[in-house]
Amino acid sequence: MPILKTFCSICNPHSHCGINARVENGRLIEVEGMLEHPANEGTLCVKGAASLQYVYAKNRLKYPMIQRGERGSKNWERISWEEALSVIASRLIEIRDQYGPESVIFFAGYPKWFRPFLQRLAHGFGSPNYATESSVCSSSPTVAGKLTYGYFGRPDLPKTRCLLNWSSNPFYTNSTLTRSLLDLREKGVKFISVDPRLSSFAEKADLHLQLRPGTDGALALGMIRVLIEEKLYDRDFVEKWTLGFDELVDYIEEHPLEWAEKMTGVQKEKIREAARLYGMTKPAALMTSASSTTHHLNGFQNHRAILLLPGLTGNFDIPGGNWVEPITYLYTTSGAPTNEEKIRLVKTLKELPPRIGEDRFPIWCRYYTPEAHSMAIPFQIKSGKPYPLKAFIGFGLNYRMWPGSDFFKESLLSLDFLVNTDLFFTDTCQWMDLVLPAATSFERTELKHWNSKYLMLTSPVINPVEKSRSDLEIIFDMARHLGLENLFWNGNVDAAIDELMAPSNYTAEELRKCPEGTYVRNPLKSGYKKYEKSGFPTPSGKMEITSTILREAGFDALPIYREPRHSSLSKDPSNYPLILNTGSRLPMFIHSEMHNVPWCEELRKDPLLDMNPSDASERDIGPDDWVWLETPRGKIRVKANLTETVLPGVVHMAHGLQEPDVNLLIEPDYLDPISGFPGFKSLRCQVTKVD
Amino acid sequence: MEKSMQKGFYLDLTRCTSCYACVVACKAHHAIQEETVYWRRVLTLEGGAYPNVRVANLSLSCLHCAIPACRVVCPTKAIYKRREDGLVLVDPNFCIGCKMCLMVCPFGVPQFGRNGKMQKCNFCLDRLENGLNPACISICPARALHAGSIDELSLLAARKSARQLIRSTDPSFFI
Repeated sequence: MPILKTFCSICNPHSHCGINARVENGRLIEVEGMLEHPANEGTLCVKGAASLQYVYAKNRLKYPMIQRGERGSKNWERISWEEALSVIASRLIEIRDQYGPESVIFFAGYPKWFRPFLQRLAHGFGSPNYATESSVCSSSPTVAGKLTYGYFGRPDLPKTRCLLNWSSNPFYTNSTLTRSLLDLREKGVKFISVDPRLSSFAEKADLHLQLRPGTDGALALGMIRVLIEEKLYDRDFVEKWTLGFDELVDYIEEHPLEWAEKMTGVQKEKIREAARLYGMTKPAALMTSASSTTHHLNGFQNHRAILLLPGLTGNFDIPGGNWVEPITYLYTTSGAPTNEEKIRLVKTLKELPPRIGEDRFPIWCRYYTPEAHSMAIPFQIKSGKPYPLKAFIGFGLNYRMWPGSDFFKESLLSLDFLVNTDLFFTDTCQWMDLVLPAATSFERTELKHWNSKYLMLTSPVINPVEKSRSDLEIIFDMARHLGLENLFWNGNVDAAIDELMAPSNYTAEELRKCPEGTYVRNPLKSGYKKYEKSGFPTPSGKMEITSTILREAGFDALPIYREPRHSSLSKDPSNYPLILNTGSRLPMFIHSEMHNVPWCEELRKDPLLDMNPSDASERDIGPDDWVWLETPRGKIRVKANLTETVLPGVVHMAHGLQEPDVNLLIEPDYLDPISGFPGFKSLRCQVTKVD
Repeated sequence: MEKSMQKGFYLDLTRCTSCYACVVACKAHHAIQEETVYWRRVLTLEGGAYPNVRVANLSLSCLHCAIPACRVVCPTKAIYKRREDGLVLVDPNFCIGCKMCLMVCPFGVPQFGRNGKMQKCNFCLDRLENGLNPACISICPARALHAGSIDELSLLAARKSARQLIRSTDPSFFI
């Protein structure tokens, strides 16, 4: 039986695992990790292990369908691709003629592989409104890094001696890192974990700082106080390369460790110990998460405070510290340069109308890639200002991603035309005018870059299920129907890949010759301390402890700590005494994915609310009791999961469930004023037993 | 069979992360569609109370005991130990589904699906014949789970001060 090579792309682009696929009579029979692949070395995570049920899920979308009659009436009719794309093109052109191209939103959820081409389609069509789920994911940390250093670097794991992991659980989010992290630990590398939960990573750390959610900034500033007080900072670097150090010193002098302890709930001795361990072990690296520090109303500034640590300790852009490598393709640092930006942007921003969110979140919009801000979409739909929105073309849209998901759904339904492309007939699909079936990574050609300097260009290992098609083919064909085939290599995907890969001299033909993938030849050499040559790419040319950009925009230039709007310390009537933290990663799901896959879903069947037994007993709640989880915005019925791994006073609810949907409990405009990120992780709530 | 030929498992508790990859790899390899049937399970055990909490991540399947209690009580001799490597196997043709094995197994291993017959880990016999590790071992992203002969496992385990589990059934399991 032949073993065919492909990869799994269920999770985020920093993982993705090489796959050996056994195929019999055109059907996928078994998947295993590809031994020779540097990312996963033969292993897979729980989600990849369930690939068979994922590919052949009962609710796969099988063919293009159009909803006759009212939205939500379930009056679906199967149509051909030709008809579907003709309907879409004619509606979009109609809307463009009447309201302008900017009234059409092109949106990308998961996976991310087709994004540059979707943005090209949006811009080619004339709309600046290409938006993604990154508006609630990695973009806030990215912008925080840009404002502080001009760029940022991931932890250089192989060379580090100390890893400060700030609220990420790589064992569940980037399972390909698991082995190397555990190996580092066995070699004696020190692990410090900052996490409100005793996660499976925190449990293996030398030091665990279990902070009150949303107080990351106070904790970082507490650590900085110790570094400065005990002269553990890099004085040469600070003198030569930082802006605003004196302001920082003034601030921390007014904020003793007792203050940090009071804010964070972490004993001051522990804060001191962590600062010493991180400050005295050389080199030390900082690992952050895409979103857990930034899903707070004060999250952007909190994240900036955390990002000061590598610079102050001389760990920025050095071996074993936070090493800046150029991103080559789709958020990865493969060392093989591409024409990604050229492909994404066929028009300059000046040629396009303003993007959604530019008025409300100008810093995010200016310093992230030229996307629209997804969180601002429902508000512009409602207000029609600065211009009306009329159509939404989604790829992997899940309306429950938005805080106040009912509010987003309602605004979506007020648009004239709704399309979603998806693998599965999700509950979001039910509200569309038209749905298009996408194919999985097993059924398509996909180009993938890995941080481990590895490339793959796959060929389908099975035919697309029913009438499903690759997202890329759908985008190319949609472009043809819109008269944009010239922009899309006249439908030739290989030609597009050739152009994309031209800067590193690879062609689709050459890459296809190694179906198992190939190490990048002559990968880009990044070097260290790149700022020594030309300074930091910030307004001052320095690491900006005080951000010029924030100051000019009227925000705090220094990342001082402020409590979020709904602070658990505030004295208002205490009907909601608990902190609600949503969205912690579970191994078997990624966001709303895999809930339809029985092998994953059965591992955590009920909607579980993790709570400390002491909070439960105060409320007469026993293990597995059904409870109401309530915020000022509403309540949902969930099941108590009593665990000592969470702090007393803090409850944790998983996101991504269709029912019950925890995002119903969050106000739609509960957003960080700088980044526009929702405060998913520090809400106030009450839990009561269901009678 | 010499004792050293006995096959078993070693779980490195310092590495297991309760990620469940082994659980689903097992179900996928053996095409187990039934929701309640698990040949391998993951248990996350907690001890103590905040702020002094300890957690243990445990991946458990049949431990292929040297003296399997299940075999002793099986009225139809459906459960047997394979001569060459000591694997504890069950012949569904003889199983009458009396669940005596479940009552005596110290680890709650025997599983019963819709057909009512006992089923459990068979060390991925089909893979073993091709010189491959069981599916749960190959997939483990933490390289926490190992399979092999008692001799091989005791060497691996010794490096981490892990030991063979001591129970009356003499499980072939290092932890």
